[in-house]
Amino acid sequence: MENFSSINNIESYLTNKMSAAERKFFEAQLAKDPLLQNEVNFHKDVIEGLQDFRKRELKERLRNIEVKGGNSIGIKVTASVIAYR
Amino acid sequence: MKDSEIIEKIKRGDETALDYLYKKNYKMMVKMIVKNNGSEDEAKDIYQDALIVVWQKVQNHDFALTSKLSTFLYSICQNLWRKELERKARHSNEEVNKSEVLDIDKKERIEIVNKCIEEMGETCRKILTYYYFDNLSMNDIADKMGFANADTAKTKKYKCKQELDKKIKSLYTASDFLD
Repeated sequence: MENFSSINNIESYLTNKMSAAERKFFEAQLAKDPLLQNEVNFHKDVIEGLQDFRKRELKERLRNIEVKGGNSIGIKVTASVIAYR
Repeated sequence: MKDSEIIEKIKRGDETALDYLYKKNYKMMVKMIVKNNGSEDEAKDIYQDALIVVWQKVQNHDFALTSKLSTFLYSICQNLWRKELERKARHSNEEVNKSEVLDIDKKERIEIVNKCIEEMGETCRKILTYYYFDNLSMNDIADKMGFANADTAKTKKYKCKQELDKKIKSLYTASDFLD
């Protein structure tokens, strides 16, 4: 008998790496096991936290990229920049 | 760079491909949003989110590009902007959207998790975020981190996660979330 609360099972479940059959089986166990629910919720918090962290990091990376002429997408501003030179 | 090269790079988790895509499509995407009632700041914000969605989608193992990459990005950008417009319209009609107010427990839990992630060593944090967000294989993680092989990456990932779990759990218990 497999151990449902094993970290590998919980991670596979939360990262969508289970087959449809495995998923169904796991969810049936989950429905009747409050301890397993607690454990799944815990790992969900951690994984979502890691995902949010990385998302913010990538966004920050993009925010720091200067796009040439990217500050103005209108013709007017570009024209006034030329006029200043 | 050809679309196929960009996709190969993204699949390996090479962020320079993201930078390249960002610059290449910037004007077209920002213009589309500004033309549709967005400010330039909103446009940038949504465009950045859209690129990160593309980054994640391409890294899915079953991803196959069925159009040009820029067309794909454009449609995601359009979708996100439409959702944002809908969200803004909803908010101007309702005073408080109760479903968006997180319960205090959840908020406190998120704070604990974030704190622990920030305090983690850089190596562990990179391995775990590459694994859980970027969906990189252990091989790619080993390459990016300069490890000998995928097994090293796997062992380290396991240890890092265990360490993080332990730390968060101890703080959760202190706050009495897990009875």
